[in-house]
Amino acid sequence: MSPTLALHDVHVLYGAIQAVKGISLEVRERELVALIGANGAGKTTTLRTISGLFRPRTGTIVYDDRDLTKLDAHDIVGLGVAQSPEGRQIFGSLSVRENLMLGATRRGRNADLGADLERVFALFPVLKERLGQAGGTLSGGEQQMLAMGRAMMAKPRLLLLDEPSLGLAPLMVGRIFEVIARLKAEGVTILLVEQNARKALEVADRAYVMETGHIALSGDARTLAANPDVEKAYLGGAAAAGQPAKGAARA
Amino acid sequence: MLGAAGLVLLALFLAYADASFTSYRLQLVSLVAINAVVAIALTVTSGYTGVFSLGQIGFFGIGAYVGALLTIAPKWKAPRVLPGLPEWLAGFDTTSWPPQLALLLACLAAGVVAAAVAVVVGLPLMRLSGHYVAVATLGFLIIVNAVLINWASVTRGARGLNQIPSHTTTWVAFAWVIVAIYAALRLRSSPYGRAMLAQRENLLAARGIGISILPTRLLAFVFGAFFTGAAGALLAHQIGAVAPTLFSFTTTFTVVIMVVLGGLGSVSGAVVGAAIMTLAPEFLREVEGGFTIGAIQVGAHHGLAQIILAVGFILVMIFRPTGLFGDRELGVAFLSRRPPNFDAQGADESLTPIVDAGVDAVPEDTRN
Repeated sequence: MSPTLALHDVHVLYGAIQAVKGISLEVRERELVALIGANGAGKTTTLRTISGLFRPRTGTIVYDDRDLTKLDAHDIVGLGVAQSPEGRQIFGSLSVRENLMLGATRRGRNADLGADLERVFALFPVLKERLGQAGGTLSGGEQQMLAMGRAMMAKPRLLLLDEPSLGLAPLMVGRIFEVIARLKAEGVTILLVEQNARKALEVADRAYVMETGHIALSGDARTLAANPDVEKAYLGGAAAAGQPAKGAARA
Repeated sequence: MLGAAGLVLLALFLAYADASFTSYRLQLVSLVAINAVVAIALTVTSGYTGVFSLGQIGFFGIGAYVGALLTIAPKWKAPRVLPGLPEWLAGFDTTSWPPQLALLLACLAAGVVAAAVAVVVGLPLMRLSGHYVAVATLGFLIIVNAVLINWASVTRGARGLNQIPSHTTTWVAFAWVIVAIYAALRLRSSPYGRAMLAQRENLLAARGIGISILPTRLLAFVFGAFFTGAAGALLAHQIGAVAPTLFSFTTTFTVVIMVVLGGLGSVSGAVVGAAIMTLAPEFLREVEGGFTIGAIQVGAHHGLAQIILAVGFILVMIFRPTGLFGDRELGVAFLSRRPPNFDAQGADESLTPIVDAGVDAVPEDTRN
């Protein structure tokens, strides 16, 4: 069976910098694939290119036999590819309900959003309590839940999660990964970008390790977690030390 | 409930005004309404979307001229006066129509023509952002002005059009305000309105969830143009004459101040801003003539009104930078609600109780 998503030799320029230098990767149906690597490796650029927010210089991104590099962002969402972006990017002055409804923008007028809202509340009960509150008043963890809930409202066949644990307290990180595992169990196909490599490799089926715009390593998540190189570079304290560094840079 | 009470109060006020106001004061009341419609339109075009348009008054001018040309009696728009008019329009006679029907036609036609122009102008301009769109829409205003001045065979050039029947009453003007308020609030709670606010708030995230930016902004631009065009026709039938100078930079900035003063994005703020900006100069004009406070006598100082008004804006902008209303609406909730605290980084996670997944989480009301 052909993969749900396949990137082939994708190059992306980010301003004058070549952020992604010819990467190829695949996500198969019902698979959870992690894309890990240090800050600045090109992970977020890769996800945004899949979503059509950036245009690749060369390469193809095939999803369901269609080349996404030829489509606009809104059409890509319409095909069932939804993203929970890095830094959450919720709409701060709009209510939680409005944020969630916006996730269903491409679903058309007659979509049964009630059932989908229920599903989001089952995953994130706290959002139900906050429905009328402005998104900007939520805590960081709640905002992350809102960003993921908003992406779920698109009823995605492929869910792109960009750094869902970034800047969150350990307790909340655990909670977010529980939800990711639950979504996988429900059969959602997921491409997860994470700096927290240890956590990502725990939930993923397969993983790609990205280094300065290239895929350095790839394979089964358990095998990679046991790989001494990966352990040294990304697991041996790097996950703990790397994360606050990125948070501090953006504060 | 609140809306019904407001309508009753408005009707009582208008009935009282009809009975006891001088015609000058009545005209002021109508002007408040006309300006309110324009300010509401700009609230949608710029406040909802964050796309700052300085071309709004161009649509005001288009609407005023289109409305006027429809209702001016044929003898005043005959070929020897306006040789450029098409025959059907030169002969179009509404003098025997009920005045309100003629005015309704004039307003709707003015709105539709302005909206059609907005589609053509907006298609290229709504792709721009920030300062660029402000400058480009200002360019549109300049073009409209140049056309009004130079297309003399239709507009009578700088002399403008007169002999426009005075069909606009305070009642009709406020009916348009109510329609505009209703339409703007309905739009705000529709998926289209949400998309406008979302792309204003975070363009990348809005694109990422599948909002198509150009049609979203274009809809707001065309919506604003329709109501501004209709308001232009109301103005023409209020003052009986129109000239290019009415649709200038000065008018543009007055409307921008109305909207910013009230709170960019708030429909109620736009109405309040329009009322203040229309009435305050009138009241302050008396101050200009000199006044006495206790033992202190102040003589006549020309320009004092503008200075007081300007100091007022500065104070509002210092103490309420988002305007009187921010982007909230007047209502029961407004009186009891605290302003939202925007905390992008989020509060301390460890203090947030984590509620476990409840299976019985059923939403009571899932749609707006």
